[in-house]
This record gives sequence, C-alpha cells and structure tokens, in this order.
Amino acid sequence: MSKRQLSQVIDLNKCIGCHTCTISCKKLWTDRNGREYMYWNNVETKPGKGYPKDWEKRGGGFKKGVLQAGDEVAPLEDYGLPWEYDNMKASLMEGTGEQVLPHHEGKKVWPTWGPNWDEDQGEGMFPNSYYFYLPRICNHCSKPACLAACTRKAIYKREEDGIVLVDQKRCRGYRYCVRACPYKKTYFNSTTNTSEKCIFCYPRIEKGEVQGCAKMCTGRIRHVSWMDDKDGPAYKLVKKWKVALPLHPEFETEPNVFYIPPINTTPPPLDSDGKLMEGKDRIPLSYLESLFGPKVKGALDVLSGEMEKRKKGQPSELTEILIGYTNKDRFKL
Amino acid sequence: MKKTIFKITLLNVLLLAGVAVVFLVPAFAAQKGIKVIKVDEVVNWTNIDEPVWANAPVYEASLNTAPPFHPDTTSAAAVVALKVQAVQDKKNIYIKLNWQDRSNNTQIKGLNDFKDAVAVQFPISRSKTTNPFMGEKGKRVNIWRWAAGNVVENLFAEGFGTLTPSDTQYLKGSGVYHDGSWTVILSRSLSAPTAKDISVGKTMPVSFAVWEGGNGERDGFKAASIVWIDMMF
Repeated sequence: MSKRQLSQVIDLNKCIGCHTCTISCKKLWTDRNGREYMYWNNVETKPGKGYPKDWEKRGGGFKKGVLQAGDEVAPLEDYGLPWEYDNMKASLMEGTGEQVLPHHEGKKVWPTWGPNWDEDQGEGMFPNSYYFYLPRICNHCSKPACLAACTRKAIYKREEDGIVLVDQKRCRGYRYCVRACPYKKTYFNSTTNTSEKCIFCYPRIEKGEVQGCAKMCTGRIRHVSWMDDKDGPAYKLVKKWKVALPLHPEFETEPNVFYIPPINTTPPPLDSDGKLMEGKDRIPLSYLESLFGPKVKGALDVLSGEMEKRKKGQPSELTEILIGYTNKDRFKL
Repeated sequence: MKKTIFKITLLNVLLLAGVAVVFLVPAFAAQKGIKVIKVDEVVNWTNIDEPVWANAPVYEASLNTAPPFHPDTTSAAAVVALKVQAVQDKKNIYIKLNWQDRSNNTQIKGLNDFKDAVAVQFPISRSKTTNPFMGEKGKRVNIWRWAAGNVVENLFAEGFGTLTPSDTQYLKGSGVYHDGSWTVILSRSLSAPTAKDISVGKTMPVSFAVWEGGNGERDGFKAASIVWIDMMF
C-alpha cells in the first residue's frame, strides 16, 4: 500500500461509448514508437469479448493470495493490428484508382479484431437485448499482479499517489507482467523490448491536472480524487455511498479504479404483448455480479433509492455527485 | 522370462558403462578447463572462420535448465551443450561459443517472440565461492551477454533480479547462424576497462548460459553450466 492513493470512479450509466477518452489517451501516449497497437484506455461493449479478445479468460491475478502466471501473451491480432490506409493518398490524390484498404507494415491486411470490435453486439434478443460500455484503464491496483510477477523489480507503486509504473530502464521485456495482469493492461512494446502501461497521466497529475481520459470525457462520467480525501467524489462514491465497485474483485489485485454499475432495470424488458415488465431486469443481475462482484445489488438499490428521492424533489447528495456539473465537482486533486 | 530380461538389461547396462569408461571418461578427464591460447597477430572478432580457432582446444560445457524461480518457468531449456574456445592476442581476449539451436530467433516482432542469446559470467572475486546463479549480495558477477541481432551488453549482478547494464559498454560481439547452430565471438580487452570490471589474463572461474528464444527462454529460464569452470591462461 502506498501512503496516498489516487482513484478514479467511472459511471457506466453515463458512458455513451464515444471513445473520446481512448483518443485522448492515444494522442497523448500511444500513437508512436511501437505503441501503435496499444490502447492504454479502451472502451469495450459488455457483454463482449473485449480488448484484447477474451482478456477475462487469459488468467493472471491471484488465487487465495497466490500469484497466477497467466496465459501466454495474446497475439497482436487479438489486440488488433495497428493498421493505416497506406494507399489512401495514392488512390485519392494521385488517382491510382486502387481501393483504399488497411495496411500493416506496408502490406494489405484484413483485420480480425480491434478495440471494441464487437461494438454494440451485447446479448439477448430484440426488443429485450442489452449492452453497455465499459471504459478500461490500468487499475493502479493496491496489490498489483504485474509488480508481483516482475523478476526485475522494474515495476513499482509510487508512495505519493499509488500510481503503478514500469521503470523502462530496468525492464528487459520478459513479459511476466503482461501475462500476470488479469486485466491485460500491461502491454509489450516489441520496438523497445520493454513492457509499458497506463501511467495514470502522472506528468499531468504532478501539475495538478487530471488524466486525459477523465478531462476529455464528453459524458462527464469520470470522477478523480484521493481516496483519503473525505470530501472528494472517489471517497464519497466508494466508501461513503458504496455505489462504486472494482471490476472483477475476484482477481484479488484490489483495483483503485471503480465503476458505478449500470442500472439494470431501465428500460424494463417487454413481454410478448409489447408491454413493459416494470421491476424486471433487462440486464441480468447475475451478469453484473460476474463483473463487479456480490455487492452489485446493494449498490443498485442505493442508486435507485436516491434517484427516487430526487424524482420526488427531495435532495440527494449521491445524485448530485453523479451529475457532476463542473470539473470542480468531479475532480479534486 | 523375467529373469532373462533382467539379465539382458543388466548386460546392457554393463556394456554401456564399459563404453562410457572407455570413451567418455577420458574425454571428460581431458577437460580440466578452458585453455586460452596465445597468438601474436590481432584476431578478427567478426570472423568466426579465422584460422586461429583451429588451434584452440574445444571445451564442451554441459548445460542444464537453470533452477526455476518464476512460476512461468515450467518446462526444460532446449540447449544441452555449449562448445567453448578462447584465444588471446596482446590486447584482447576472444571467446568463441557454439551451440545447436533448431530455430534462428533474431528478431522480436510478435508479442511472444524472444531472441536467442548467450552469456559468459565471471565472479568479480575470482573465487568459486560466489554463487554461480547471478552471484549474491556482496559477491558481484560480471556478465558479457550477446543476443541475436548482435546486441552485446556488459552487465553486473549480485543476486536474482539485480542484473543491471554497466554505464560503460565496451564489449564486442558477433554471431552467425548456420546449419542449425549459432557461433558467437565475444571480445574484450584483457585489462579491466573500468575499476568495476574484471581483468582477464590469469586463471579464473567462468560459467555460461544459453537462451533458446524459440522456446520462450528469457530471464532465469535458460540453459546454464551449473558449476564454475576454470578458464586457464
């Protein structure tokens, strides 16, 4: 455990899947030098296979405190080839007439996966189908499996803010961390032969500015503050109101990024006559529990209760926080 | 019936033992260490076919999978033997290393690719009491490492996880993959280039490690000579 922990809370009820966070992160950190295929921040559709493909089945984390090595690193194709339209200029500007196609390393490719490849697919049959968006970054865990797996002591958790970083000088590209991170949020850079990951925008944090993903979010779904700051939104949502939950707590890494689970009863499903079945689940509770653990029901009950109060014109601190009118309301560094 | 099989088996064992006594033992007995031969002319470290190597005795080091200390390391290292020769001219030492390797892994392109590599290790104390597995606290080792693509590193370590590249890099090395085997020459000045380094020229212990990139070998997952071997000048 670090002396202080910076935390982020992501409200899944407000995510519109616009990927502005992803693009912000990519333009800041991963559009160059062997990182082109990496999305330190990605937004995937749930239910879905995610990014990299089937990451939840690739192992890692801890089981009863014992580190799990995790599967072999996913092939580049399962992250998605970082393709470009190499022949766009020739085709459109120089009139070669060639079809504009994706290229990777100078060759035409046919991509088979990418971030949010299964966009909006979800589960269920119309009109009772369902899906929601899940933005993901490194969880800057209190018990990082990446750190535990590194034989080089190249990964460290900063005392002052709990940010988990890979020391690029000590890393020798063994990739134990890539395998051991159960969220698959450590990436291998084959150009530098080192592993790299989300740095929680520490250079911005050090200047008193929140992460790019949080600042650029058009849906204003992200809250950033110190976990020991009782006036901050993270403390209030996680500890006080207990509506923000870690993703896959069963991985035992103790994430410091938390999620407000999506309210699963609105809109309610329809019966065979097309009538709304009020109070029934559209998203099965068991599915949400498979992502956020057994505390989902409690969190959803608190959320619905507070929303009811609000509808009746009564004050609600929780809904006020979740609306997050201004940057000052959502960010407190 | 069972008795017959037993007899035959026993006979086979005896015969094999006899063969070993006749052929293998003398071969090993002759291998007291790596004999460094001296030459007057400057050796070209980029040419594995320099005539000088024909005169240098070949030491065959047997390699074993290094003891695993990471849960990922569950299989055996691929390489089992390493041929070592050593030559010195007036200024430099040249160590020639040759081993069988079924795949030529010179590039890291895919996310599960690892490079073939070889390393020579010396205890700074010049004593065999230093732990041959990366040294130990207070007992540093100097490691000369070549990786496919001709990346040569001068490294120091004092125990697992402490391997650190030296601030100054002055090693030379080149390797050639041909017909299922790697041949690598590592070279450095006989005198220690810095106070931290080890001088070469008097009998000293040495050990070796080989990584088969195609087998996912990296870090402590490697084939290593388990004990120190004498390099004799």
